[in-house]
Amino acid sequence: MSAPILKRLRQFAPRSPRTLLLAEFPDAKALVAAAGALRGAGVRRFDAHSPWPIEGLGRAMGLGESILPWIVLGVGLSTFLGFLAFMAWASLDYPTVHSGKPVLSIWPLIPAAIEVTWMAAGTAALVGFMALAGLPLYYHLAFRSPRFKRASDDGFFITVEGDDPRFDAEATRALLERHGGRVERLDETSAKGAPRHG
Amino acid sequence: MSEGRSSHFILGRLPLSLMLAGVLALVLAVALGTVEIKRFLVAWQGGWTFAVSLSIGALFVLLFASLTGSTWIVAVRRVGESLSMLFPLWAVLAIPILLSAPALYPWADTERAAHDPVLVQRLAFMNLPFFSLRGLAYLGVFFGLALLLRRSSLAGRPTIDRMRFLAGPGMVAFALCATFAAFDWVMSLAGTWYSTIFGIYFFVGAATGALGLWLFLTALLERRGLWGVPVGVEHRHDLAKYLYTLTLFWAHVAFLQFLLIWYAKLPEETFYYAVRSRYGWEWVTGALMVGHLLLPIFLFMGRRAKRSLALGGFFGLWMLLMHALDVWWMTAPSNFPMRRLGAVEILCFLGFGLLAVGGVLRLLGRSPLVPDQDPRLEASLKLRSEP
Amino acid sequence: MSQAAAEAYVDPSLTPGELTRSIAEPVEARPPRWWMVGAAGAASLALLFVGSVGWLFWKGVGVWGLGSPTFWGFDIINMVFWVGIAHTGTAVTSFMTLSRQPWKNGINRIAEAMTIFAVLCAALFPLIHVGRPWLAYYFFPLPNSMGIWPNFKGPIFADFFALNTYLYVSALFWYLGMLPDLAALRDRATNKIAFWAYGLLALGWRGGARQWSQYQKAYLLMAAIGTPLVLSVCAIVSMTFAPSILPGWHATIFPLYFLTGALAAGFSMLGMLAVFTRSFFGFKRLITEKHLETINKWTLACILGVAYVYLVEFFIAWYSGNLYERFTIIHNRLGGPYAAIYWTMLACNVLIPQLFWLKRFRTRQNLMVFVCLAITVGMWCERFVILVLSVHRDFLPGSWGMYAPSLVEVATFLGTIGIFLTMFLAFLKFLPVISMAEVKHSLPSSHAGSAP
Repeated sequence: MSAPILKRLRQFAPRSPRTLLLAEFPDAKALVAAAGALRGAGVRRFDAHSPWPIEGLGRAMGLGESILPWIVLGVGLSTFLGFLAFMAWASLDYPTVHSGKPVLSIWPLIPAAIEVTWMAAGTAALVGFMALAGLPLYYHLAFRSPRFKRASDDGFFITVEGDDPRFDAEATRALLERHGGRVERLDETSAKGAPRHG
Repeated sequence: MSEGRSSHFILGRLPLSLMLAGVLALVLAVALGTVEIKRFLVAWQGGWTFAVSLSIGALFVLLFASLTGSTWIVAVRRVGESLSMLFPLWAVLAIPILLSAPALYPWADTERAAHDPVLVQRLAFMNLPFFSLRGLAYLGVFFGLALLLRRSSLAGRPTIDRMRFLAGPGMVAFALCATFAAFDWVMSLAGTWYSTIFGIYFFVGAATGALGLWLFLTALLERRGLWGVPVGVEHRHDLAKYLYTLTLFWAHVAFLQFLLIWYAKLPEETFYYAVRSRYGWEWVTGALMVGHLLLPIFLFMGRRAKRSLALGGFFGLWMLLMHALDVWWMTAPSNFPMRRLGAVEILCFLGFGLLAVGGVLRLLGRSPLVPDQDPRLEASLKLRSEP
Repeated sequence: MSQAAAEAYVDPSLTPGELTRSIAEPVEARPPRWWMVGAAGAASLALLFVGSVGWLFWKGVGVWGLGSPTFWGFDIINMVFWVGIAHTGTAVTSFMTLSRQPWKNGINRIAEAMTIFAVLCAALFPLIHVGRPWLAYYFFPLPNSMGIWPNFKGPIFADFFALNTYLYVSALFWYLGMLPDLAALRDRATNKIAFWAYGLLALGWRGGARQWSQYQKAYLLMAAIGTPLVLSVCAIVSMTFAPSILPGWHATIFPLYFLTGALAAGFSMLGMLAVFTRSFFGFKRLITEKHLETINKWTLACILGVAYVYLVEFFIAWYSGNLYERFTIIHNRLGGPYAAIYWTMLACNVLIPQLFWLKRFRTRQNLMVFVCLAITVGMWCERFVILVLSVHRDFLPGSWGMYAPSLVEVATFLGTIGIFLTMFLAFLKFLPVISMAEVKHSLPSSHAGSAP
């Protein structure tokens, strides 16, 4: 019973591609231009890497609005109402009278419910972010290139995945080079890649 | 071009008509009030508090912006400036309250106060001469600060730097005056009742009302294309975010004031809420909870609602109305434990509200609509919100 | 808009590469001598906590100076003291993110670290305060064979949730902000341990545009959660006292009193930690004098808030016409047996901080550390005044008494200072102290070339 569910879930898990074109660009402007051109050429499975978020890059790549706020709102609101209902039920389940207060009153329950809400909403923000950003993914083909280390320092990269059925290595390479990219091709050599260590 | 703008209906003929309508409403209220003088006085005091609180709220927002050196607000600051310039008008309209204080304020009724074990102890502070003097001083400080801010905005660079320096001490003076004004004008209506947070409750609520009007008028001017410069969605968005934050903060303060009094259950405090939860007032309390908190929290949480011209303007107008309700809720039940809502109450709040809106529009038409001497104006107009 | 203002806070000649190096190298290098000495000293001080708490568990709460009528002493005073310091970190990051204040970039990581370590110190106190910490799980609403539930209506229950939530969400926020920097450390790692440790924490972050867009949204959401969180936690901590009927505790302004006091304590502590970090690590180009000045301006603003509360408390105590309010808040504070502590508090919290009106005191390191230290002392005195002065003389003169901490209590408090410093020094050594991604993002050169 559980095995097929796990298998089905696994197809949603982030995965490293088998083939990758990695192009390094001199600056953010070239990166945005190249990303826009790739999108224009109909390439889907690519990403643009930078050490800090670049304004306008998301627009150039046609990324939509994140659904994360809705996730956080949903989790937060249901936690608030759920925990409030739980406390109200528990107050009646084990009724106590303290300093003349009614057995059940909504007001003093609100602070605790709000705190639990922040707890749940914060968790939803972090976990939701990880799910939407495809994390954690400890092994990725791009990590095999020593150059890619600069993606967290001061380098700008585009990776085009070869898993796209319409992937055309030569045309894509030409397009990336036209925009000033230094392109290299990475292929998975073993069935199970080990993370590199430099 | 500025000729063309000021001759436009909204900045030209409308303000005067609005003010006239306001005066008419107040005169009508006086006429109706002769039947039952105390009812009229309570309503007048409520309306006056509402109006003066709008100017206080606008002054608070302006001072805070000067203090933090905010750029975004520069383009739309004239709206708040005009609102904060109305203190002289409110000073004149306070005279009926001063003259009839014994009917409104329990401590001013010397006969009654002398026999009240609590009130009698306060008479050194709460007596009519000192009360009037303090009121004059508060209004003088408020108007002085408003005038300084206005001057600096009209004159440009040198005074703006000086204003930034003065904003700190100005804020201190403002906070003290606003707090004690709230204690004097509003809290002391409730007789022996006291709450240490009341000053903050009052001027945070005032700021929501003022920002509501501010946002509404900014949207209105944009809708009619009167700004003449690119004032638009980004400025409204920032105003709406500000208003939203203040609304949450107001709710925080209001809820905690209630909760702490509920917990302690001291009779000298609880009667304030006891009065407001029966004889018709429970509906007003409920309306405040829903209208001042729950509804805006969910309706205007999203970015899209805050950036929409129609919804954003509606948000402003709604919070203005809710603030009026809040003022009525703060003031009237102390004198009328049974809720009374009729033509007199509506006319008074409407009259003062119309005077405020008309006054703002009139002052807006008299000077350039944006502070064109301010060196930060260009940056303010280029404002872009981050993704 | 934020761009132009941000430039003033960072040295515009820095390149992103230099920035990575200057922040990552202290983490990668062997710890300097001062660090070794400091860590050894701090850890020894922390041992004091272990020793005094061990003694407490062995002998029982009799080793403390508590007794009728003062049943809350150093344990709760110091909890509130540390919680106060803790509030600034999350406030700086969340509120300054939402209001687009550019100066937070250089110091928010330090502020958040301070928050988490201070909450940890604070959380130790209620744990030992309950007497039998092995039964502390009773706080949780767990179904049990006796069929009883915690008192959900009690403010202490909310307090428990507030502290835990604050610790938890602050840690999440800290971690989320650090994620891209952890990836940078992973990519620079030269030994296996560092590579695995940072690599594990970095979750395989690649800095892709798809990841960044989700990341920025998540960060904003965390900030939107963090701002009301700080407000509510301050309010609930104050509700440890304010719902009672004791004069000096029961005041509706308490939620905001605790907020402004907490922020003042936190900003002044942050100022000291920023000075410490920049002097010892040579981060003077990253944590600039302008940063220090801005921190000190915030300290001053919060201190004025504190002074406002003192004034309003005084006035309302008189205005209330209530004998007990007047006695506790006016007479017993100004002229009671603990008047020395009260006047110290006034001097440190109201008088000395006024020096921050002068630019010299806001920008010179040694002058500013003096004021910040005074505020920290003053804030501790404030907690003492709130706690002890309200309970040691209650409504009935026959039951009045005095409270003095025992040596064990003092040692416990000193021990938490050791714990805090140990954790802070460890943070300085093992984690990126300044947010690289955010500072790079705010560099003028990072946008000169980018598309509009």
